[in-house]
Amino acid sequence: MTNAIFRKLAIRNIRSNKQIYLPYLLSAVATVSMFYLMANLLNNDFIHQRSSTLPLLFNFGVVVIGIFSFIFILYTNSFLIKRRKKELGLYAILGMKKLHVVRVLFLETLITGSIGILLGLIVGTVLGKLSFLALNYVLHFPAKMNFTLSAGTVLLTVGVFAVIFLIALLYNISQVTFSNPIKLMKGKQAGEKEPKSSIFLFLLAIGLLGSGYWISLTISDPIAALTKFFLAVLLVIAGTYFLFISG
Amino acid sequence: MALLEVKHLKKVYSTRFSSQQVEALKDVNFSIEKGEYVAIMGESGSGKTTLLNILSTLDTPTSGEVLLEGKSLADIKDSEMSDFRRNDLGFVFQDFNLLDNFSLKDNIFLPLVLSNTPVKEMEERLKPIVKPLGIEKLIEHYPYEVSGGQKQRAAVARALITDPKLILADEPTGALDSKSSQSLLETFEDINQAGQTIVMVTHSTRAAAHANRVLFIQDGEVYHEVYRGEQTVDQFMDKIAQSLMVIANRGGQYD
Ligand SMILES: Nc1ncnc2c1ncn2[C@@H]1O[C@H](COP(=O)(O)OP(=O)(O)O)[C@@H](O)[C@H]1O
Ligand SMILES: [Mg+2]
Repeated sequence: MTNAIFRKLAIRNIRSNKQIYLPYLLSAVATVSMFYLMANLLNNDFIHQRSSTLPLLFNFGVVVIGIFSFIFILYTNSFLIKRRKKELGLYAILGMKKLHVVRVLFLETLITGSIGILLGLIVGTVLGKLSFLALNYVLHFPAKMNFTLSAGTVLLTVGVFAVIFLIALLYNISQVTFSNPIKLMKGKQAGEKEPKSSIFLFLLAIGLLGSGYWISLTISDPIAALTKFFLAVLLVIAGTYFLFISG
Repeated sequence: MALLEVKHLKKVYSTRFSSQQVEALKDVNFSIEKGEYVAIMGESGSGKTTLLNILSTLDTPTSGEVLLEGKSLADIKDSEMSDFRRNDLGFVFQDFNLLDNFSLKDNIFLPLVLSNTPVKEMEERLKPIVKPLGIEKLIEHYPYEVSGGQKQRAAVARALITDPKLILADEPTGALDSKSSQSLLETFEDINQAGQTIVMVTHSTRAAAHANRVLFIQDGEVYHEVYRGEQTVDQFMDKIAQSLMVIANRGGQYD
């Protein structure tokens, strides 16, 4: 098999699995942008000048969001690979070598991971700029706050998420290579019940998402807001998760 | 030389967490000539799927061997196993195993895509296969847009498109209504007339009656076989039913 066919197959797979890849990408974009925002605030001049505890809190925030991102992406990824076991088992039965399946999975991760990180950085930057514009407008501080772009923060974000996606890939590879094709094909039947489409879950998801965003929008005092901010992040993550499994 | 030879095949499953062992195949022997259409009959749990999995190199026997054109499957290197499955075998499953997010055409192309066949050649091979199967107009559709019988036809097309030495079918009519079953069985007969060797596993007397030869498997052994010869499907069905009566007296249960 040539390189071109792996590329074609990877792109074909991403396209034809868009119902499961799209939520995966969205959650990746959401976590990347949140992480990037937080990491950026950590290095923000204005925040450093304003208080000495604030950077510490943001430091804490970066770590927490990093861990959340890790758990969240790995969770959505395990869901994704479970839904695809039949497909990968069929590839093996129809005559694709394990090593080739691994190469296709690698390319899929490379493509979706790159898109997720890139879009996450763009969304994060836009959100950062917008919220600083809004804050400047509302708060009328003597000195304007600037959302600055720093190579260090970008590199940190890219690095952290590259590692997360790599771990997700390793998990997928282990799922595929330690199982024979027959088991893979049966994986879907034998595995846990898949959540059915549920209006209840959907409403719960919308409720959680809504309250999460509402809290984050109504934050007034930046320092007391930090706990609220984490609550908001938690709600948004839980909401996205339920939205994901309700469909 | 027989196309396929099965010698003293034995398969014992042992579950990891219990000492209990299941002997799915005890001592299976038979051989199949090129161009034959053989049905393997047996009740549920008699080891049919196990046998087919071993024939298709998806599973390995505890002992015994399978020879394809005189070459033992056990001698095929791990690295050549996938090529062997891709080039020499065609699979038809009970539940079709089409990928829902691929169009019928892409499903049929899958084995060729895995062989990196040029698009032009794929297209050229497609038409003569889907036309007699009656799914020519449906190939741009997705599996969930067509009936069970049409899905199974697409699965048959996927099995045929690599021009395999052997088609292995596991209960191909198991999920079909009687009309679609009938038409699929006729399709298999047509394919076989065109020279394709087929091994089909089934527990349906009607399905088996379309084959040229029926092997009966029970308690992990092939202990009886009947040839169709010049009989019609209905006559052959009667003969199979008679054989099953004899088996039933040995303690088996058939529907
Ligand atoms: N992976 C397995 N592990 C343990 N026992 C198995 C496994 N697969 C099949 N068996 C057992 O082997 C016997 C034959 O099964 P199978 O080949 O599926 O029969 P059939 O296809 O004729 O219904 C059954 O008793 C079944 O429970
Ligand atoms: Mg079976």
